[in-house]
Amino acid sequence: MRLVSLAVESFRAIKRAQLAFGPGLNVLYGPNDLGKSTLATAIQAALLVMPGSAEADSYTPWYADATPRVSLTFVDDKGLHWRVKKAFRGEETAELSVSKDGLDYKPDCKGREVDGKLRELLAWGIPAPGGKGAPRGLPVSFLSQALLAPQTDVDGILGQTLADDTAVNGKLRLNAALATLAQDPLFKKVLDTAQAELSANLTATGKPKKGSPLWLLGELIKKLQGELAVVRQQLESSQAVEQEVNAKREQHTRALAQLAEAKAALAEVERRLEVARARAAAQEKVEAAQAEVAKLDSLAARVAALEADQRPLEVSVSKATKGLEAAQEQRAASEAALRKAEEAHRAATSEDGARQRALQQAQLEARQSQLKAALQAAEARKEKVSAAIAAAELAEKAQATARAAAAEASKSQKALAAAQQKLEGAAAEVELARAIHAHGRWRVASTQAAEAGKAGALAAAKRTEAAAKEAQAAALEATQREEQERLERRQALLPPAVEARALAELDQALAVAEAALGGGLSVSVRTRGQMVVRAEIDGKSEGSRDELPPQASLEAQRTVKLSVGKNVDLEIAAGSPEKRRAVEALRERWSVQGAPALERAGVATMAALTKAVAAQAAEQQALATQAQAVDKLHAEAGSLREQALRFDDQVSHAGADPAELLRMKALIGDTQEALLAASFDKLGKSWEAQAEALRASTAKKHEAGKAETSAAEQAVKLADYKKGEADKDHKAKTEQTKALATALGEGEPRSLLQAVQAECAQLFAQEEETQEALQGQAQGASGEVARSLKGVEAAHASLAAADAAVAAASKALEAARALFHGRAGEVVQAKEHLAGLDRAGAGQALQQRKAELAAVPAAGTASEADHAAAGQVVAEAERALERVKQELHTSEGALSTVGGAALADEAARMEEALKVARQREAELSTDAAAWRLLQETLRAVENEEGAHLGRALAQPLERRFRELTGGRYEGLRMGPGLETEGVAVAGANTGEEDVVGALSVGTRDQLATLVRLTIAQQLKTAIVLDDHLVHTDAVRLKWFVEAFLKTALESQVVVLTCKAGDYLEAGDLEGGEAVRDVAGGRVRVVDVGRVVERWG
Amino acid sequence: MEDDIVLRLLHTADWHLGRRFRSFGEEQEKKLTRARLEVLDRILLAAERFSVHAVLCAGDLFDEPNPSRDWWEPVAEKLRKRAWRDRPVFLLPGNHDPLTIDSVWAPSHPFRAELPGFVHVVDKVDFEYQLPGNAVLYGVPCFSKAGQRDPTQQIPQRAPGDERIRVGLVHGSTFDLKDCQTNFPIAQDAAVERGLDYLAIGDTHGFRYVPPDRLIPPTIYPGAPEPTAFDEKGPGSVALVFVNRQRRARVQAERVAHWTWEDRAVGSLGELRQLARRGDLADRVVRLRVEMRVSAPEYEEAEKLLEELVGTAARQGRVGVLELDRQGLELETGNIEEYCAGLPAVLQSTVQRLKAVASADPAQKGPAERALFHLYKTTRKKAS
Repeated sequence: MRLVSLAVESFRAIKRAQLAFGPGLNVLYGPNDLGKSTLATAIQAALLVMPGSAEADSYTPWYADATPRVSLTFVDDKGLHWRVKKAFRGEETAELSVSKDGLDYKPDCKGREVDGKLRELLAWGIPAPGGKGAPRGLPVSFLSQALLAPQTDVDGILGQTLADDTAVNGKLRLNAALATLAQDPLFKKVLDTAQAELSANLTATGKPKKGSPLWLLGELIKKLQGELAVVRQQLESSQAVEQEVNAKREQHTRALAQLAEAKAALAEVERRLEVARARAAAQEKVEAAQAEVAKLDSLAARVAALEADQRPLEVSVSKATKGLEAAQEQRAASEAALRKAEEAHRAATSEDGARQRALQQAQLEARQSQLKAALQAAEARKEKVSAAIAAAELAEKAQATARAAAAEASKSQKALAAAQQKLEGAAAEVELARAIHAHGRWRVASTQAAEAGKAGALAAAKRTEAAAKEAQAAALEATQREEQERLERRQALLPPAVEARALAELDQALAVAEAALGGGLSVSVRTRGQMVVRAEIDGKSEGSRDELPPQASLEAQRTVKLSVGKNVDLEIAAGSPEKRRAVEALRERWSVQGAPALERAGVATMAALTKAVAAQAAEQQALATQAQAVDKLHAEAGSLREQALRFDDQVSHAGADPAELLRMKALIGDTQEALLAASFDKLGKSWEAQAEALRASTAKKHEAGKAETSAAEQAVKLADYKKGEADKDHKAKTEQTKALATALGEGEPRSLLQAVQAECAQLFAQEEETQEALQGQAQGASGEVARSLKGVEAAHASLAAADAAVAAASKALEAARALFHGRAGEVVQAKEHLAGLDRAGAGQALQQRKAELAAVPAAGTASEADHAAAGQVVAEAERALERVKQELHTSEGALSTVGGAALADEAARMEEALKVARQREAELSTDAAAWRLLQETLRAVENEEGAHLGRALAQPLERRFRELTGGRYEGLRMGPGLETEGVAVAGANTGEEDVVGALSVGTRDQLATLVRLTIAQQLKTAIVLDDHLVHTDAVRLKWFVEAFLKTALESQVVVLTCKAGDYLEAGDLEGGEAVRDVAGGRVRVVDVGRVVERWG
Repeated sequence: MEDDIVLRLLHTADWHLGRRFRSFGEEQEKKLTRARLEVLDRILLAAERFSVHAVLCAGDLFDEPNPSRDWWEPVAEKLRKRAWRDRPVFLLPGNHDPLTIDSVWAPSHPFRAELPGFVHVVDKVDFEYQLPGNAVLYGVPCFSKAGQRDPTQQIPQRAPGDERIRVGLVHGSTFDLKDCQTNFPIAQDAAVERGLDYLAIGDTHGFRYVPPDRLIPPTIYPGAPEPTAFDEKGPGSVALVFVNRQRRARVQAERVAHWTWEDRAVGSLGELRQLARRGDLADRVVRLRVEMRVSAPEYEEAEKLLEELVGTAARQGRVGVLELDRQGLELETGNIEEYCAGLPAVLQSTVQRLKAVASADPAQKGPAERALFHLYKTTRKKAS
């Protein structure tokens, strides 16, 4: 710590005071009661006393009701400027500000925190306020006593021990400062080794040092972790795709099984349906056979019925025949009676005429009998012809039936052809629908593949761009590293900015001081003979010249240096001795501080150094800007890689392998592509649903076509069967007609019928004529004839009655015969028809059909509805399979874009590498932790034992004390707490006896001052000495002044004294400013009387 | 039978050119990656020595589809140097280096242009090539890194009356495990089913018969010609295939590897000394686990032996490539005082304190023991 400035206001006797401290020895002088000790107390108050503490009560101004205030600025060991402002009784406030350059201060903390922070900064062994052991009044510790206490309590200073400190940081600080003074060499070696190992591997905060193996491993692990995270993410995606494929594959297997099951069910239903159809057909055949048998049986029954009906008619004919015979017998009797009557009549009339009439009558009657026989024959022929015509009509009907059956069969064939054609059309539509669907899938996959290709290309482009960015970033990083290294190398040669400013101030002060020398010099040089004279005017900054001419006049402001030959150098300087000393002092400081800095930096002037420091700062700033640019490039590259990953996703979702595309293309078939493309384009976005619907509808149509075709085939079979039956019937009837026609002979039946009918009419008319002729002949009788005639007439009447009875009987017979023959014809016809049919065959056919029907299983049949339902299930299973297939293809397409097993290998290898790196890191960490533990343990043991501290401080102290006392004392011993334990008198037989108490007051005061001074020197911190060395003789006092000056080269020394002459030359006390630097700037002199304003 | 041989083949696979070995240090990784190229010369030399009719390379020849020029250019150069006329070489894309548009196998890739005429890339599914001895080769490449279709199913089945020697060349996994389904699964009876007399496959890094009961005709994984990991079984060989007139194939493994990978653990200083004395370590890749608890002097000796095995910046280690796990090396602290006698009191106190830390805090045991060893070693150096 170094004090910079102090401002005091309303503090005890001081109304106001302000002064700036020099970096070396500060002599604050003035007569007693001027406020010198108050200034020391003010420094103590600023650093140690809390504004509200009881100690602050003593700061109350003596002559005013005002708030005591102090403001102290100091620089800490790290070069930071701190300014503490405190206001005591009345306000009780505290503020602490910090600055890097001593110009711009920023608030650091306020209030209670200020003293906490100050005690932490000072590390004087004073605990933080409010904590355990924290003092309530003026805090006292070993270091606060050594560095700030008034000298009045010499014994207190010598007896003060670190063991009484309530905070350890004071001891630690001393320990660190004194550590190197008295450690065991082996201990020091171990400690140094541990420190070197730690420095090589760890930073002060315990983190791996940049570039160290541990740091490199950490970087490698971070890199591996990053890469592994990426690979794991890709692997997870890959595994997700694989799992999806597996799931789809299982779904595909299930869908295949379901389809197979549905197809099996359909096949079973179809089998049952076929059975049902076969059974229906067999049943139909049985029924047809049964109908045929029934028809035949019905025909046989009819024949039987006709035959049954024929017997009464035969009886009727027989009765009618008997009636006719009876009538004929009656007529014959009547005729005989008539013949008797006629004979009687003839006899009555003429025998010849009678005979003639009888002959004519007999002739007419013979003719009549012939005509009747002919008429009967003609009637019989007429019946046969009618039967032939009826058979021909039946044959014609059968022929018409056969033709109708043929027409029906032809119609069925046409219907079948139409159904088949329709089925082919439906099949073509099914194929077209399938081709459209396949075309659609191919088109979509092609488009997706094209898009995947584009996305892949974009991903590659993004990656290329990202790689370019990263390469650019890497190049920039490499440049930056080089630049950073260059700057670090240069920084090592340049002082820090604060130091540079201090040097600039020193340079300026030196320039001012040198300028102050400027009184002007005029030197004339005349050389005699061959003498080389060289001159330097006004030192380094002004012009110099080489080898003067024989006569030269030199004009200078401050100095002229002459080199005469090789043996004589003259230096002529202007200015008062005091100012020259000041310049010398500053030059000495410059030579110690400034010149080496310039030499290290490789520059000639302070301006160049300042410029170089500024340039260094500017380049550091530029480097930071470049680092931001690199970060930006990395961020851009990362963003591009993310974009590439998104494109990869698109590829993985859209991709299909070329072989799959070819397979899909092959699935389209031979359908004209233009037609398919046009059809597909018409479907629009919902092509798949529409294509599916089209496939379903065409499939349905196809199924309907199949059913229709099947029905048409059945119809054809049935029509063929009917036609066959009709043909057979027609053939049979035609043959029967032919047989009847053959029986009739040549000629057409209907013409024959007409001829026979005409013959019958002619015969009937001839028979009527003959009858009339007979009747005319009968009417020619007369005479006697009248009786005979009456007899004849009665006979005739009787004969007529008999004839009427015969006619009636004949008519009855004819009617009966007609009925009988008509029935007989029907019987014959029916029998012939029955005989033409195969009743036994029909029965056998029926049995065969029944056997066929029985052979078809009656149970386990299915209906058309069952078939349709099973077909629906199959169609649904096919659709499901197709859907799963498509999803599987999609998943498999995605699979082709993932990393698969190679990625898993990569992840495993990276995990192994990470494991090994972590293992190695653990080893190195353990090693680093071991060195740290060793170092900490060494220090802890050392601290706890503390033995070296006394030795450490005693060494330089004893040397100085021996020097001060002229070798009178030796063997100074100090305890672990730096309490002064004893000192030996040289050559005396005092052994280990403590003679400190026996020293004179002055010597003890000097020893206490030396202890304090040595501690300040070791700590390189400011010390304030007040009222010290009051009992010291002039010789030792002079020794002390030299000691102060030497100490002031490393530590700031503030001396408050009323005897300024003890420290200053007479000239330094004369006039001048209140604050002035003397002894070449090494001593700052402050006339306290002029910087302190007292009350009143 | 030897007089009856009509076809001699050299079958190799899984070169994995360009593979990284990140578990090892930079220099060691270089040795191993370089070895993958160097083995190609020995493979090609073996082909000449056995006068094979053809060389079949069954996939994963590169570790990635588009390796840098540093990998494919030497391959082309080594092949060009051979200038074979009647010995075709067939290169098959595998699942690590599938044939894609931007892969090294793409017709537009400069690698293809640099290959000599006798080298054929199997770049189509219906690849077919007439070999001497009335033989025919069918090859099916991988077009992606993952796939679930058996590549052998692309090979046509033997037609009735086809008496030629039929050889298949594919890449994939014959494992019937769930996790391996994506890696181009190959049915174990694929050779029989497709009517092949020899099925040359690649993927597994160890020499292996598939199925293991060595049914005729053989299906063989030749394995990686240079091992790639410690857990591989029987890597480092190529397969030499001799087919006679009766179409019977006989296979023999021919070692071509330079490196032998060895996984070792030593549990005592004696074992470590024994290992350090071995003369075959220069060609070994060793993963060494040290698991022993020893006294301070023994610990120092163990450290020295390990340093000899590992090497330093100035001296080559005795083991060709070493992956060392020394976390099991522990210091016996029970008698540590014996070895620290004569040290200053402050160091002896330090020893006691470190020993207490080692026994009291398990988390600090390792660092404390190591710190004790550092202390011992540092003070020993001074003494010596």
